[in-house]
Amino acid sequence: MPDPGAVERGATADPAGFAPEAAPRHVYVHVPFCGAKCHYCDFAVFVGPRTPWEALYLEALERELALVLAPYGGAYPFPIETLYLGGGTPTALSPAALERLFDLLERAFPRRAPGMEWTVEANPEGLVGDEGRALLRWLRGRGTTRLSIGVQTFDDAQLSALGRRHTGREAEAAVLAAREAGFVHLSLDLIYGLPGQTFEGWTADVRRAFGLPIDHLSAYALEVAEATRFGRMQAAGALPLPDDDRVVEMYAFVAAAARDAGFEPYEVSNFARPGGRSRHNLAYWNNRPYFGFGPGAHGYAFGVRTANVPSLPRYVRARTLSEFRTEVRPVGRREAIEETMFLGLRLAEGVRRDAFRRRFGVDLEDVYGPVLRRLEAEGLIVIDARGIRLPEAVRPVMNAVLAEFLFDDR
Amino acid sequence: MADIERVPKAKIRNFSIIAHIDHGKSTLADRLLEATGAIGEREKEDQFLDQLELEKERGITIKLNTVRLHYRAKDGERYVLNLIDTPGHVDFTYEVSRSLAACEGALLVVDATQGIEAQTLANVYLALENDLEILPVINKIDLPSADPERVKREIEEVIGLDASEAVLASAKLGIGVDEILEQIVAKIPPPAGDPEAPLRALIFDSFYDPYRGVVALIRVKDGTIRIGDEILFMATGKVHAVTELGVFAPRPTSVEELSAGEVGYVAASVKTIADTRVGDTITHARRPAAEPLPGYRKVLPVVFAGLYPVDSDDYDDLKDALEKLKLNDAALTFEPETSQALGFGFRCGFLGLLHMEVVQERLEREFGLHLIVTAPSVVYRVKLKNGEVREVDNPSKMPDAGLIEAIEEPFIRATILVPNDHVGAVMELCQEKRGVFQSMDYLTPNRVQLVYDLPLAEVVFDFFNQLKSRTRGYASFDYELADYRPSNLVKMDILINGEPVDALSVIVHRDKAYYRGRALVEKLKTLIPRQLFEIPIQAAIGSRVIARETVKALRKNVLAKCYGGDVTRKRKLLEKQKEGKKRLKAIGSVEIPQEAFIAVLQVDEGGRNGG
Repeated sequence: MPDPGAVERGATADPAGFAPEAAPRHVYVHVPFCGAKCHYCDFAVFVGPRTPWEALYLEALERELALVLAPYGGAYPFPIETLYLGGGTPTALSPAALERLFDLLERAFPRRAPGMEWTVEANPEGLVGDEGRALLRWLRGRGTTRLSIGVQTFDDAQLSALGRRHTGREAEAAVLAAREAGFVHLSLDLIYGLPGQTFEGWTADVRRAFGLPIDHLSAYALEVAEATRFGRMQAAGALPLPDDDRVVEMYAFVAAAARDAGFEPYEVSNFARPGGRSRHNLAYWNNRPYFGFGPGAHGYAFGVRTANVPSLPRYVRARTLSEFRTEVRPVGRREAIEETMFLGLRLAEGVRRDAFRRRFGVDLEDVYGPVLRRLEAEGLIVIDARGIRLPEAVRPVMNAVLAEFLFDDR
Repeated sequence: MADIERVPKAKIRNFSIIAHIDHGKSTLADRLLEATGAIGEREKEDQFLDQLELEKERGITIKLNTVRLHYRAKDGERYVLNLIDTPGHVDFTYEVSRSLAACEGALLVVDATQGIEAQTLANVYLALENDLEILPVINKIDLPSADPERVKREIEEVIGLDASEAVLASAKLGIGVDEILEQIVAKIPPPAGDPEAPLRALIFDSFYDPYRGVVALIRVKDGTIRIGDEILFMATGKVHAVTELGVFAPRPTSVEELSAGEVGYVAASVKTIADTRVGDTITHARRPAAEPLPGYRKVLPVVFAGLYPVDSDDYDDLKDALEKLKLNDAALTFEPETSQALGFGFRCGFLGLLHMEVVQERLEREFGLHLIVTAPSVVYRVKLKNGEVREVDNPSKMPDAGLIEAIEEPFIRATILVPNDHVGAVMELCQEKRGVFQSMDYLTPNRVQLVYDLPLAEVVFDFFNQLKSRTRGYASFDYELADYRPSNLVKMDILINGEPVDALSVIVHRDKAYYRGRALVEKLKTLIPRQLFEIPIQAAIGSRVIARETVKALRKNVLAKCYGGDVTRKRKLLEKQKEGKKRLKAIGSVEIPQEAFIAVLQVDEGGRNGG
């Protein structure tokens, strides 16, 4: 662990260029529990019994927090701007465990920046009925400001084919219940390019989503990972995916529909009404530092990118920091520059000159002059007084452009 | 120098080993070295004679080696046995013939489970032409499927050699090695030649050594060569003074002189390997021999291809690398060439396809170069209407069709040995390849020798693979260049995104142009990755498009979820993408992978029925 105090003072030995905001203001906590594993899911999830695993998880999380925050005596002294509980399904925890989790986090991060964003991911089935209403009230009461609800699709046949445990109507009911409980920042996740999905099916999903009182939508193209049920089906030739051209039409449709509904496409796959952007995700895309706790969580604190062990049984056995980690990658200055570019260009506003200059002490042009001129000539980027960004038409194929911002000599 | 034992000429035996690839030549050579104490246990590397890394990997011998063995025979006498290794591939037939010319005898090693193959047969004939005593050795008798009696019969019926005393051996287990050594001494005649006559020494191989200059491996036929002698290379007319003489025992060991019957090496401050041509005769400048030894000819490349660096900044590195390879490989030729599509590169000439592959692999492996190799071409003889005759080794240099009176192409005479039940498949293949049937003979009731005349260009194009797959690997193949014959040939161009890519142009027979064009654009469509715009691919003869495909524009590569802050995964994905791009060549604004340039070689003939 570097000396956070020294980094905070703006030490010059700061290769990743963090000063003056060296200490993370963003916290991600991964809660791995789920009712069952969805057929496309490649995340760190745990579908085993809550007892004894909830308790073991919370004890391990407490240890991890204590180890990471040891230099501060276990309580982080800087105000937190965003806190994100992701999963898994955080709301799948028992009420008592949720209570304990929130207590833990409040002790570890006692200071909150004014207007702190506190997002919790939830699945529709956990937010409906009496229990759901109680949970929503409780979350509001404990300071949660934003919910991200995993809807994926409103089509019941599709939902069951995905291995989801809710219906389209329940998803709508969940959003309305959350709104009723006082949540104004509500986000939905939708997935397109599903097996057997038609363009018409997708347009219906999008319309239903924008008919709900939400201020944020994440729309992702399905990515089939090998180690999932879909991956195995694909290997067996039993996954009828729509072709790329059709998938891109689906993307174009959601982008247009979002605009019509008053949502800005502020990131390649994310759309928000004014004031509805995910400030937590913006921290990733702006390449800011953040803590990551819990199994499979990623962090970027003090110039080092880390990844935790994804398996819950391994996570709960960890006693030292190195046992919690599977990956520790110090980020050098050049890598920090590359990451600033390939993350920032996901955003509609792209990478800003002033921010780049402030962070790295050089101009964008000094670093990327020839690349910028070539890409501009090919119509792949737009350069203006504010900075550089990708034209909308290039967004679906942006990897081809992003790769140009990696340096050659590695 | 003192530790090299010399024996009278009558106690010298010079021999090679003839064997098909994988029949165990290198292993047997190692056993002979061990049995005669040429290499001790400590310095024993497997397959001592195969020095190049690539040779070891492929189990084939490309460059020659020679080694001097000291053997005390059962008769109590001390003998010197010179083992002269031969390369084992069809591309090097001439080099094989010269090293056989340096010997009085040869071991014919045949796999007891396989029998005689075409290559072996070709080399046996070369050995017989050179009047060599041939000692059959039936190897791998330890294998359960070994059938030594059948193989003996085959040797007798196919070659007409007496196989009754053939040694039954297992080089792997060391069985039969002593008997082989005894037969070498007893049956191979000692060298002839007069040590007092004017010097005549045959160069059967040479290599470049950074300290000695070019080192020539020689067999002294007549006379005696000594350090300090002024020697004349009879084919090139160059004169040099001998700076070093030696033998390989098996490490290079200096000697004062080499005389008639002996085998060794000579260094004479020769700077370029082209001055020590295989097959040339060395004589004394002051007292030259009246006639050179017979059989010398200049080796000419028959297959040509363009070699281009993927990154044009590597041009100078490629040039240096080719010059370094050339030091050791007199058969390799190269000259600068410019392609509109590929930029600056070299037109390289090779003895054959294997030679080409070997050079390409060495350039990539030993020199770390990323290369694009264009489809190999043969040398066409183009008669123009104005009477001029041009040799064209690059399809893109083919004169305009309107100027051409006739085009001739090189034909080979191919000998194919194949089991009875695959004869039909081989004949069909040869017909498809425009072959002209010459003869068919039953060597044994079950083995057939087919002889076809085939256009070399068709052999270069996917012949070996087809032969192998259609006979399930049972056919073996050998060829020699025959002559030039007129053919109805046309140049077919490939246009990518509307631009002709000169490196993809091919010369094809007019009757096959449509199918080749169709197959090629279809193949290219699968090889050219989708890019940010649509790319038409066309095949054309002159201005007439005969086939067209389209690579659709890339549509998506980024829309999936970027999971909670996992930037490392994202980085790896982009790095992979960037790395992949490095292997692409930009033609105009289209990026084309290296595979596209050899696709010309690999497309399926497309019309077994129609083509």
